[in-house]
Amino acid sequence: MTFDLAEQLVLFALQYLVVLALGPLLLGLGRRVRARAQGRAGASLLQVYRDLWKLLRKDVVYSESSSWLTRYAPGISFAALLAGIPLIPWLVLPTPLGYIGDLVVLVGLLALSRFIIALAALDAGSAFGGMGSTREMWMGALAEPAFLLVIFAFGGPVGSLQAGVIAASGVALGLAYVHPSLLLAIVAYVLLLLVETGRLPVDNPATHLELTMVHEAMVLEYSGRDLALIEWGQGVKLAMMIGLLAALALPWGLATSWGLVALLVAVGVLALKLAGGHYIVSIFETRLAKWRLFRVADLMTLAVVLAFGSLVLIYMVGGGA
Amino acid sequence: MSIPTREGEESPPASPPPTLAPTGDVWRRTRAEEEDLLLRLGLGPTRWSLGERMWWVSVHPDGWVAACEQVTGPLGHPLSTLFAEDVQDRGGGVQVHALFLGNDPTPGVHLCCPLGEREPKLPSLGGTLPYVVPFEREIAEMFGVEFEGALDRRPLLLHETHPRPPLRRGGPSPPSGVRAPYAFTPVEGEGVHEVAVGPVHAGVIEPGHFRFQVLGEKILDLETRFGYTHKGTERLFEGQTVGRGTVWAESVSGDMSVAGGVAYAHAVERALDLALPPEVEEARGLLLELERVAFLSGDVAGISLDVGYAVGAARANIQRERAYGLLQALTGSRLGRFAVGVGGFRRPLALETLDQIPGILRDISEAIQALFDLLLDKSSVVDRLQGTGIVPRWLAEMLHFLGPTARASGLRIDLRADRPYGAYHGREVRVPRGLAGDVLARLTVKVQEILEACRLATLFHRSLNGGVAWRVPVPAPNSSAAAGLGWVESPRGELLVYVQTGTDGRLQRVHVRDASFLTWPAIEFAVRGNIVPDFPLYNKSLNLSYSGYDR
Repeated sequence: MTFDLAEQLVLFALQYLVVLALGPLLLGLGRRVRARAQGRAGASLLQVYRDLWKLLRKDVVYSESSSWLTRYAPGISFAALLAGIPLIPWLVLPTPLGYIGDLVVLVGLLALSRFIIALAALDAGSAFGGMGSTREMWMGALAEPAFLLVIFAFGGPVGSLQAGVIAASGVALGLAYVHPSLLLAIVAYVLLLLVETGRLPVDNPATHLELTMVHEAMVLEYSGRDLALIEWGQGVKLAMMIGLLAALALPWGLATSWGLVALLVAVGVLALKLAGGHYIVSIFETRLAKWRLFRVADLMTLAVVLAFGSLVLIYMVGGGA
Repeated sequence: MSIPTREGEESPPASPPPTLAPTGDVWRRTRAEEEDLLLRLGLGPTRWSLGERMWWVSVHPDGWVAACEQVTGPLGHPLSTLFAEDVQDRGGGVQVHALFLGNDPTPGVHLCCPLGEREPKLPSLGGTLPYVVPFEREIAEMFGVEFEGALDRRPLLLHETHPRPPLRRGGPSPPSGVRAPYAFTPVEGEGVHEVAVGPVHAGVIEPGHFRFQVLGEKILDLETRFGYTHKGTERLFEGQTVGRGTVWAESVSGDMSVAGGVAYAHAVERALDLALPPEVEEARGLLLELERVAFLSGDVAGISLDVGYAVGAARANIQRERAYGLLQALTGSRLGRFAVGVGGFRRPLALETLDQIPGILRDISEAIQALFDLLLDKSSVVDRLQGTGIVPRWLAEMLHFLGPTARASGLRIDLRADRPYGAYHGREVRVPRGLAGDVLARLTVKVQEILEACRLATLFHRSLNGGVAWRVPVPAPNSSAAAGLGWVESPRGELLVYVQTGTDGRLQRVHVRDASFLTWPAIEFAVRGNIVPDFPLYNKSLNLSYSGYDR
């Protein structure tokens, strides 16, 4: 079953709507889980939306020593994330206009989004921005090889690096798609997800200690709608990272036909997958302390080894496809 | 007056035969032996100062360094505090006082050095005792005393345009308007850069400036600069009645209000030669220990939070609030403020809650112990704490660090055991000790101190059941000037308050020396060779007072 162009365009727009709306909700969910673990009631799940709305209406303050880079970086970073959204199967298979790029492009877009913020953090000349940038780029350099290997492990047996094609083969194969070697790739991906989205034990998004920050240190200089864009981007990136895992590891539940019920079910399943995935990550977070900075290298080495092992296993034993 | 005097305070009886002190660490001289030694050393005219419970020796400026070396050397007392006093109205210039606290039963020595009225000068002690440098910097800026041979002549607390010297009588000169730059020690080399943090931080904490010299993430050097919370407290005391001074003593470091209040009250009571009934001291002891429980539980929470383990922090904070709740119930103030006063208490304690105290304290002990076990069970937590921010024992000894910091490095110092005061006379206080001097050792020591504080508080509570006369009449100050010294083992360590009253019975000079003043340099050494993102952990495990340093 395929969709005609008009249907594809509608679905294309719909998935943007869903992902952009669900991103902040995920951040709120994580905060709620952490609050509950600490014995606090926690803020409403909608608080993130209220904060974004507040920030969007506030004035923007720029450092006197900053250049155009600071002004444009949040927009560029957010746009890079937006460009990556259609590369992931969110609601339907085949992915609407999914042929415009594969997962290598997605890795590149995420890297661009990271790079531009890190560059802009150096712009204002504050020591914290510099510290955040070096740490973020160092982690990025460790994470990207592992990311690519994981993608190859998923895409290798299928013969395609498009997430839509991989997920479609999963749906078609059913249980035969579940291969032990993919488990290694999934574990590697989860480690990556912690680094990419700046969760504990790698980075502590709730910290107020400027010297320990990674991502927060880079965005200390931002205010108003720029900050809103960055926070929103954090939520969207989180949704993308969990959404990609859900599409690759659990491709079932995506709609394959046009219809209101099918689409509603698909939106519900997506929300469930995202919330479930982030719930598990957040529970994991509450049970861990932040690691010493340089141990992140160990974590990423582990991810590379696992992904590579998965890749070798698939070619030696034979993948699901 | 029918109030009983504590033994050995009014006029010490014949000295008992020398014995090993209960802590077993040091041989302690009796009062008579120390007098003997002092007379043989011949530092200067010597007398017994009742209010300070130590020997008072007048020293000529020429013999200053030698005298201090004698006291720290043969007599074996560390320099506890160094401060100056303007005595122009008593016919003189500036006097510099050095207090060397002894461990019970050794009294210790107070060296007093009168300086000339014009351009007071004194040789610097910096060559022998490295930790006196901040004391000398403070005296130099506050009194205009010049220390000859001092290597560091930068101001300590007063920032560029502050009028100085503020503590000289006749008023300070107006600000010069000249902003002399404060020079941090530069570090040069390929890839070395400077990171300036504070005085305004990303969290709501006290202000202090930290200047890091880093190579990548590695810290090569750290210099601290304070003075942002300098309130001129020591000046505010001057001319006040002894009763009103308690307010300022409590606010030197607000999280140690009870300790500050008790130390000040003891100083005044000793200066006025006023003894309190034992149950009043027991009640003060109860408040002191409750404050310690709350304060140190907050430290445990802070360490847990700074390694990113928010669940542990939440659990410790619950216990902290329960201890503060007890203080609130007893005194009406969460921090125990406005409770302690000269001659007892400023208002009666609310006794209705006394019955609940042992049960709540037992719960707190158990909860803290369980939390500590949980933290030690988490490899991700232990990995962050172990070997992080080491303060070696030799350094703690050389720079005379105090409180839990020194104990975690292996020194057994605790005024409650070493120089008992108030309710701690005749009480056994178990002093925990660490060995490694890292963050884990400091956490361990603090947890053990919470347990010990709960035990002591329960003991004090037990002896309070008979009811308490909350206040003894404070005699009208007599016309002669008197000096008194109060010492309290605050949650941060040795807290000293020196009080000098004038002939009008009002406060003439009050000097407060928080443990933080001596212990802050620990952080500059603890961070060397460590990495920048661990800094909050070193800072929180030491948890020193900015306000207590700045006053």
